[in-house]
Formats: sequence, structure tokens, C-alpha cells
Amino acid sequence: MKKISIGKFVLSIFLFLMVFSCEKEEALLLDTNQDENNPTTLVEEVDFNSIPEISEALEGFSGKIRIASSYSEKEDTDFWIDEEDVLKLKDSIGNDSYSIVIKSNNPSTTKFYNFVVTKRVDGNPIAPFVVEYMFADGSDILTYAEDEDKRFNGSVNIYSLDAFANISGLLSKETSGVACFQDVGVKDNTVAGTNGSGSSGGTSGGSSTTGSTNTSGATVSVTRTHISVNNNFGTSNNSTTGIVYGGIGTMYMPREKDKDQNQDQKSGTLSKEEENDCPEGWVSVPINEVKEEIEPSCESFNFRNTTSLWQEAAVKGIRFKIVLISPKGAKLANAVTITQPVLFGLPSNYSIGGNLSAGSAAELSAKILSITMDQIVDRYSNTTVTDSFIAIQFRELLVKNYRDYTGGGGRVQFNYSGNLSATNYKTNLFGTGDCD
Amino acid sequence: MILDDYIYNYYPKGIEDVFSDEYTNSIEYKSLKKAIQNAEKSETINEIKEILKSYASLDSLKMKFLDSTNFSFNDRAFNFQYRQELPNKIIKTVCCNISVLLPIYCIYYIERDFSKVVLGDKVDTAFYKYDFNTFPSSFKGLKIKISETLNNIGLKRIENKILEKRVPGIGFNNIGYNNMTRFNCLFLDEPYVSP
Repeated sequence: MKKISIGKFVLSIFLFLMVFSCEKEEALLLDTNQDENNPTTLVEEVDFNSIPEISEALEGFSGKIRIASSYSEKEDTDFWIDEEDVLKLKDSIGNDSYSIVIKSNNPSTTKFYNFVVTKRVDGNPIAPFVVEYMFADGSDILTYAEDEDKRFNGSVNIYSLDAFANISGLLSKETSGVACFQDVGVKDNTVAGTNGSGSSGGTSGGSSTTGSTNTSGATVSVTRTHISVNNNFGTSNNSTTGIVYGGIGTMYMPREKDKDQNQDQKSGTLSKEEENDCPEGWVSVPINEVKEEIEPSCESFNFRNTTSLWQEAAVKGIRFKIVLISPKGAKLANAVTITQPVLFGLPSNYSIGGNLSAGSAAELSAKILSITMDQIVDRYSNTTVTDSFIAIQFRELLVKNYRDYTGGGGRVQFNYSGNLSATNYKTNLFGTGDCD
Repeated sequence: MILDDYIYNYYPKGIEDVFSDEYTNSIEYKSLKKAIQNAEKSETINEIKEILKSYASLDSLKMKFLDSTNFSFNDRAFNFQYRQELPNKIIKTVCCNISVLLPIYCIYYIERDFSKVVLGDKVDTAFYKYDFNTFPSSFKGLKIKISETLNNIGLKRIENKILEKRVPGIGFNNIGYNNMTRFNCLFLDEPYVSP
């Protein structure tokens, strides 16, 4: 599918950049606490063209690196953005920040990049910058997208535009050597192994954590980046369908003295002289996840011949996400999960086209499932319909599409309870996979 | 009305969400599933099928007989097809559905043009057009033979003109609530022709 459900799902995080003075620390704490309790802090999609600051920043960026404004215009450049997918966060004191995913020809499953532009109410501009979200071992874009608690396990690096543009082999080699801020560790007082700040928690462990961390720094036991979720903006009663859209998390940028200490251990961080383009000050940013390439995997479908002319596959746990608007106006990323097995059936021998192998049937089925999910998301995202309504529409459309895209031969049965063993639904990055 | 009253024995009235526990736990739904399961185990149908299959070569029609019955998808009928596959990828099909809920059957004709069908591409709605009341004279001999055979074993052919009458207050699979026709209730979600 082109865009997964989570698609419009973002977390907002507090990203503290270059805290040089005690005054700034105090302001930081104050604002953190405000946002923690302020349900008016919202992440929303915005029209690229309505924010000229983004275009201006992008032009400056394009002077350093060839970056296209869309895939269709990318020609021979390796990088592009999606103007249709700009996220805005307004913090509690009115600062705006915008995040756009930087896409590339060689996407990685273990890291992604956001181009960030800010508008400040105090008139002190912050240079546009690039955030690198790099997943640690055992997690990647896919696991993060499917983790409803949104526990980010990895490191976050901040690049100036110059630094980003100068990176060689950006997406395949070690890149931290030119970061303005490397491994921006979030100091999290949620003890490792607990999940106190997840979406079901109801409070922002992250925000309060930041406060205590910056004042004492003594209670911190986890140094890995942890983006925690605040559900001030509402959640569903059902944890499987209730992801906060626009929640608040925290990310901690070491203070100057901490950074100096870290430099002893981390090679390659820029010297102060080289940091001219690096962002200064603190800012909250929405995380714009890489999300377009997560699709149903053909490996979800294990077709077996039930007669000489017919094959079937049962799949359980089909799911996708869609952003809906709650009655109170909050955007919620709802996970629509079809828990009961779904039976798919196709002719194994088409009189109009010959044999259809199990692998081909799996690939065809994944494609149709992906199309259906896309159509549902396109039709109903950002509307006030319920997730149960979405489930009904999805069922009806999948039955229709599975017939229509298979020459009238494909059949789908929900709530399947027959003897065929159901396989677990699997997703795939960058396509529906190769099963034939 | 008697027919519709009978149909209500298999489809719970007044439950719009056909995937709800209320629906699937209903006596009617359980009766339907039981009827389908019994049909799936039936061995007598094989004898009938062999007889029906022999008619595919009647009168030099050069038709193929195909058993498209599929109880995995909760079909309520045996679905036998006599197919004439033309070189231009037009398939002419005489369909014979034998209900598993009542000792009745129906015979209808469907013609589909597969010449523009590509797997993975969407077909037009017009592709599925059918008319229960149209039956080519060239296949009437076949229709008579099928009817004779099935009537002789006690089945009764339901008239095509009443197949599309809706039965209110019920739904099934993805057929919307209040959209169930007698054909849907007694035979299939929709006429099915194997591509």
C-alpha cells in the first residue's frame, strides 16, 4: 500500500537543541511542563504551499544538495520530499515547527530523515536542520510503525543542512561523524523494561522525566533515546485501536558540558568552528515517519489447492491504520484489525490465462489487499467515521476488489472457520514482496 | 410468502451486522451453517453430478462441465456450469444451481467477455451484467435435459423471474442488510462464472 495507516500518525517530541545557559534550561523546563499538560498542542498536516518558510528553506537546502519536491520531479537526484506530507506542530507558546521526510533512492529500514523548519514567536530564528532517526539493533522502521506504544529504540542525530549535504553514502554508511549533535540521548526515568509512558499510561512520563533529568540528572538510568507518548489528546478505549495522534514525547539534548564530555567518547563530532549552520535553541518537532512503503506481504498468503482448479489461503490478523477524527476533534491513528481469519480463494487454472501458481496468487492477493487499504485510507482518513464503520467498508471493498482484480474469479470470506490453517498477516517494506 | 418465511429459518431477522456475535450465534445462522456442512458431506450429489456432466456433449454443443461449488465461501448451492469457451475469449455459461436449503434448483445463462481481462487490472462493472430472464434458444435442449433429470429426483425448478425479489430484514456476508434476494438466500452471493 502506498501509505500505511499510521500514515498520518506522528508523535510530537521535545527536541532540545543546544542548551547553553541556565536561562535556557529554565525556559525549557517551563515549556516542557506546559506542553505536557496542554491539550491544545497539536500535530496536523499542512499544505506545503501555505508555508512559504518551508519553500524558502528548501531552496536553501537545494543549493547544497539536489533534492526534488516530489518523486515525479526527482529525475536523477537521489533525494526528494513529499509535499503532500508536511506535519506541523504548534507548541504551547506558539512556536511552529514543520517536518518533512527526506526520501531517497536507497531507502534504509533502519533509519530515516526529517527536514525541519521552524517559526519562532520570539523572533530568533533557528536554522533549518535535518534529524536522523537511527534504530538500534532489533528494531527498524517497520517494527516502530507497528509498535502502538511508539517506543523508539535508537539514536537521534541532528545535522545542519551543510553537514547533511556533505555526507557521502548517507544511507549506507556511518553518518554520525558530521552531526551537529550526535546520539541525542533521551534521558528517561522510565526504568528499562517498564512501559510506564506508553499510550495507555495516560501521562507523559517523558515530559516529567525531562524536567527531573535537567534539574538533577541523577535519576536517569536509560540513555537510549525514548520517544514516549502522551495521550492528552485522547485515546481509544481499546488499546489495539487507540494511538494518540499528536502526542507529546521528550527527547533530551545534552547540555554544553555534557556534550563536551561526550565528545571525548564519540569521534568525529564537529568542532565549534564547524558548527556555524547548526541549529541553536530548543524546539519541539513532530516526527514524520517514513510510512509510505509498508505494504501487505505476499508471504501472508499460503495458497493451497483445495480442488484441481481452485486454491485457497487463510490469513489472520490483517490490519492497517487510518487517522480518524474523534468526536472531540482529536486526530487518532486507529488500527483496524481483522482478528478473525479471512479466506481468499482463486482459480488455480484460468481458462483465459492458464495456470496461476500459489506464489503468483499470493502476490496478486497482496497487491489487491494493498490497493484496498489505500482506497479506504484515501476515502476516510481525517473524517469522523468510527473504526467499526471503517471495518465494514474495508470488508465490502476487499470482497469487491478481490473479484474485480481477478477477472471475477477471486473470492473472499470473512470470519472463516474452516479447516485450512490460517497464516499470520505479514507486512513488507518497499513493496508486497516476491513470492513467485 | 411461504418461501420467504422458510428463508427466515436460515437468516436472522433484524440483525444488520452480519459479522457480529449476535448474528453468528443465532439459531438461524447455525442452521444455515449446518445445512452447508451437510451438503459438503453429501455423496449422493456425485451421482447426480455425473449424470449432469454427461449432458455437456449434447447436440454438439462442445461445452465443458465445471463444478464450481464452493462451500468454503458459504455458498448455499451446488454450482454446476456448462461452458462454451469461444476463441475470442467470450465464455457462454449455462449455470445450474441446486440449493442446499430447499429441494429446488435454478438454471440461468451468463455470457462474459474475457478478452480484455488482465489479472491484476480492474474489470468494469458492466463485465458482470446478467439477466436471469434471458436464455438463448441454442441451449434450451440442455436446459430441458437438466430439468428432467433433477425433477425426476424430486427437485423443483424455481422460476427465474422471482429470483431477484428481495427478502426484507436480513443480510449475509457482504450483501447489505435488506438487499438479500431470493437468489442470494437460496443459492449464491452472486452468479459466479469461473474465468
